[in-house]
Amino acid sequence: MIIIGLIGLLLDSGTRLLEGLRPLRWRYVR
Amino acid sequence: MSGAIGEPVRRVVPPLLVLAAAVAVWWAVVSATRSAIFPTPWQVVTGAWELAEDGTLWEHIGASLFRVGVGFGLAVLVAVPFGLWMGWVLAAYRTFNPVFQMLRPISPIAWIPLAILWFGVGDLSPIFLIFISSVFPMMVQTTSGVHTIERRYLRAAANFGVSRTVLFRRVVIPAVLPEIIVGMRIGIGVAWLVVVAAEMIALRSGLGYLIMDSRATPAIATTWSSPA
Repeated sequence: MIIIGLIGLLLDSGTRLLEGLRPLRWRYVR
Repeated sequence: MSGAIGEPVRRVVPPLLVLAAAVAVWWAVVSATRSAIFPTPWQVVTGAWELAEDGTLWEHIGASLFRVGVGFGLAVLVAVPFGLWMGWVLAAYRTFNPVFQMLRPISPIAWIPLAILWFGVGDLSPIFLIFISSVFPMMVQTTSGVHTIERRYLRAAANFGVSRTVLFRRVVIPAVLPEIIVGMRIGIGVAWLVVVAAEMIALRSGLGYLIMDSRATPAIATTWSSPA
């Protein structure tokens, strides 16, 4: 169960990395 | 403590302290009660290590990640274009939204018997369950992203006399991307929840299966770590 939690955390962090994509940056740095 | 070193310390130390305290309490309680059904943290670590060493753990992790990858990938391919379309075209929204709002609250667990009936007990059943449970949150999020675009972006673009296609491509899609990513975060979270449940019932591989399988053996420490 602990491993499931850790992998879930990794998957979420991976998806969050998409927020750093170039077309999105304008929205966050405003 | 201040400056460049202080900030990372402030960010990392408190959660580590909470984690360490939880492990310490766990260890103390198990040692004090000599529980037969709760392993100590160290037994969990060694249990996980054994599984990792003989390769079983990686096999099951791989099986689960494969199912999530395929199911979630298909859900993104369907949900994002469909969500954009429903957000942009009012008639599409009015036509499809009620149906999706009705399908959305159906528990993924309730789909399990149907999935087994339709797709058998192979990889297709969990992939279907992952798809069905992650497609709706992403679709709703994308649609509402289009609906909540600031009007001034659209008006500013309209001032330049751009066509509807250009407006959609250059303004709507970039403006909605953050909502799409939020939808994907929700979707991947749900997908990971569902794959474990699906594997507990229908399959002979994956982390969900590993939990159920180790429950039936004396290796209870396994259940906790990966249960491993």
